[in-house]
Amino acid sequence: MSYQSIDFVLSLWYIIMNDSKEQFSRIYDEYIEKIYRFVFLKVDSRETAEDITSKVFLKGWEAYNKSKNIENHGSFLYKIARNAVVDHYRGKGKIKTVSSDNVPETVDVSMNVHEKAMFNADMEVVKAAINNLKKDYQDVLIWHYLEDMDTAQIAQILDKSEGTVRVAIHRGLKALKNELVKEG
Amino acid sequence: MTEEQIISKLQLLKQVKPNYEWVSLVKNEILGKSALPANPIIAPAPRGTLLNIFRTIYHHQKLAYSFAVFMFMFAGVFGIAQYTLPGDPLFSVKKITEQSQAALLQESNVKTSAESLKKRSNDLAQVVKQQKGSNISQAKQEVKEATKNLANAILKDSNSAKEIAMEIKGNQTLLSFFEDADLKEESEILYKAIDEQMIADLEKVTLSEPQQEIFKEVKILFEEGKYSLALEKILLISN
Repeated sequence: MSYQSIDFVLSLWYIIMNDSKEQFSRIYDEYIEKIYRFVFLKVDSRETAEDITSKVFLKGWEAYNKSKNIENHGSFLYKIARNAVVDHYRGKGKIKTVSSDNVPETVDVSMNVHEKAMFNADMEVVKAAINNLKKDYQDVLIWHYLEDMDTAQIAQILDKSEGTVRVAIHRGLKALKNELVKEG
Repeated sequence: MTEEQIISKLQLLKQVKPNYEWVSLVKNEILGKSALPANPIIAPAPRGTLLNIFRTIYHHQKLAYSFAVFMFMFAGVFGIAQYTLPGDPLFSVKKITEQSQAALLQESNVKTSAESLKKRSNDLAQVVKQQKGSNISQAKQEVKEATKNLANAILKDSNSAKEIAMEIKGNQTLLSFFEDADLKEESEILYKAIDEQMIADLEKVTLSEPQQEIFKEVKILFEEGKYSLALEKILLISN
């Protein structure tokens, strides 16, 4: 086999490998914000959220390289994220606390200082209320109302029936109302 | 507090977004580990990045194994194909390889076609020698095609006509096949093409008296359609 043939095959291989990286790059772009938000709402600081989120995507990339037959990338990444948050609290014996370091990176630039402060305070109240809910309620509320997932998609991630998910959303909303009334 | 109010408060959290610089940094850390650029358009030429390719292969063992198997199969198929004869399943691979090699060497069309005719006549000789009866018609067909291609190439490029004529006259295998009734028609087309080009060339040069006599005979033989005999006389003048 000539050098040109070997070079051609290696070039083809190079393109295939780059293609795999490109594909995961697109998955990253699609889910980074969602996974970060999901984690951020369950931990006490932005740094912790960043640390856990980066680990989630690193694990995702490793798994993606082993098998590209992952049917639903979103569901797959959320499962890793859920476990990562559980490990975070379990491994270090940490207690859930709500810190004041909850200011989001993006707020409407047209707001004045007073409006921004009000907005951030409102968000902190909601975040604190969410944090006081049962883990299952937190998950279904975030996915359904923040990430606009339907019950079928949530059921797939949780390996539960759609009926169970609907009940969890209903009960979660009720529990959140109680928490917000307490905070208010 | 109504359900709608709770939901709208909940949706305030959509404003939670990661720091853009952190997003880029993490992406680079994760996807930059195997040292391949993110944008294939600005990637350096593959030949210069063989080291990177092997690094990548090292990091993806499963793919590396499948790649190795693919390379062995690829090499095997091409290796085996070189020993095939017309009518064999991998003969088309052999022809593609020959065409690719000719394209890479950038040889003239006449030279490539002459080389191809030589190879196809050798293939036919092998088929006859090995008594592969079922391959004979395919092998003859290949010789016919190669002969036609050479005739067309000569008509487009007259410079090599004499060289090709000498080669044909020196190739006993080919000459014996040209005597075969099945190949007679194509061989006559080839002889005619060579004759035409060489007659045109001879008309431009000054010939001695004996040469002029032979040239007159050449023209008569050509008009009578005796192209092979005409070529023999032409070669007498040219030498």
